Amino acid sequence: MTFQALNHSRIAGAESFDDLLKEGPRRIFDPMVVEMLSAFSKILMKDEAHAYPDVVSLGFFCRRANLSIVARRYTLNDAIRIGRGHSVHYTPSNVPLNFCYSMIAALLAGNSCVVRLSNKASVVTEFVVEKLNAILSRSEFEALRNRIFLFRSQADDKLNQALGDIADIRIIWGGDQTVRDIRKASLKPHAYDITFPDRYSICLIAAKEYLEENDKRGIATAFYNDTFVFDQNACSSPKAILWIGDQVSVSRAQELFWNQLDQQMRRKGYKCPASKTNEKLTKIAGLAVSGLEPRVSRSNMTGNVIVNTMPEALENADNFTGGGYFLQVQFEHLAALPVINDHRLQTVTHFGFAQTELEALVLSVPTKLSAERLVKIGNATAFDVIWDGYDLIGQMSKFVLVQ
Amino acid sequence: MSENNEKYQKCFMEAFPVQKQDLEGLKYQDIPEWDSIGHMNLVAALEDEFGIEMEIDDITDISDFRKGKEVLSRYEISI
Repeated sequence: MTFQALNHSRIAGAESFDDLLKEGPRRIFDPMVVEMLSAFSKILMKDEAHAYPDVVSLGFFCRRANLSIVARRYTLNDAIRIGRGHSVHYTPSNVPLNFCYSMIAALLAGNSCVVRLSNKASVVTEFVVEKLNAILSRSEFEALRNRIFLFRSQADDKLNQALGDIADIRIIWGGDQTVRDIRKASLKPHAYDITFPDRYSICLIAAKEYLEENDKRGIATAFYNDTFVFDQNACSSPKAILWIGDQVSVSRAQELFWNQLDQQMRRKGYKCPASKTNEKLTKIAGLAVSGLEPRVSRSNMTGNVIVNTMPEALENADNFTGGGYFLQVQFEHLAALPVINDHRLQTVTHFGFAQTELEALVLSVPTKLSAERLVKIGNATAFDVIWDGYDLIGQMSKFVLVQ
Repeated sequence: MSENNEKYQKCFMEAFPVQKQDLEGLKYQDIPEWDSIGHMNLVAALEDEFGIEMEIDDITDISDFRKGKEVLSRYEISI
């Protein structure tokens, strides 16, 4: 059965799916695509968007200056690079605007985009879709409208197969189970998947450098943005803090750090969701019965739960949860870090380390940290076309040799 | 007053509800509007106004009104 014949509701883009199917690949960073995204950025960053931080962040990502910086990374040789054809995206519900980043990367890589949105409607999603529709209805971008098809539908194996039949690349966000479910639908022989399974992230802080830092409030703000914009529920939200330094400095730094975070949470009016309380209790009990000696403190003000524990707790991602729950472990120095060689480790946000120290951690044999992103605190959710170890532009395009 | 200085002030006044006399000494997070979101608007305004593309480290370096001028000098813009 074809996609057209199966139940779905169109949200934005091409009026008819047949129109999208007629679209072919374009070169990467096609000027009209860049123009369209720059215009999109402008309307996303207007005053009315200020109530939605993630909308402004999306606008900031696709602003002209950033697209131009990103494009420069791909001009190193003079080979022709074009899209692979039709990209099919399954996008998650925990990060509402993720669908847009996925689509933007595929458009920049020269593809047409079929995007399945989460059925969990959100105010920001509706806001952005409305703006996207407005941009695509401008006459100067008419030629791009048929390259985009946004829809919602129930989970449906037939629909997945219909999309598998037309996809040249398939991009699956949303975790292990989603990847397994979607993969039951086969792809054409030349097509392939780019998958984003379950991931977690941690934070690495040098206690001495933190104590010496004047702008502790700035760090708290940055950590808050990394963590609570998505209720500590995004792949890139830190779940554990690894403190580097002697016990005295670390204890002092921890006290100041959590205090600052509490104040920032209060400024933002953020309270940890009560629905997470039972899960937090279960996790603490799990640590206790595993002999990992959890010592728990809880903020009365915000409901944040901080659990001091042993390094072994970091070896099992099941020990983590969201909604204001942080494990923390102290290490005398970087060399004392355990080997965390887990393909689920995505982002390490950091403070107080030199670039060379961080590179050494990644390049050590065996690698100390198998993470794919080491970024400063505050940049955890900042999208880049290099994501989860994929060069998305590279993965979604092809080289054409002309001699 | 130099043309660049006027442009520079205009960017701040566009991004935040501040008057010219408030600018000197204005710091990140001094006012509710200059938070991480307001900062993005400021950076986008500066890039548009001066026709530059700012790198991430420079973006995070603009911690106050004065420091921003130093950051722009890295793009050969003197204020």
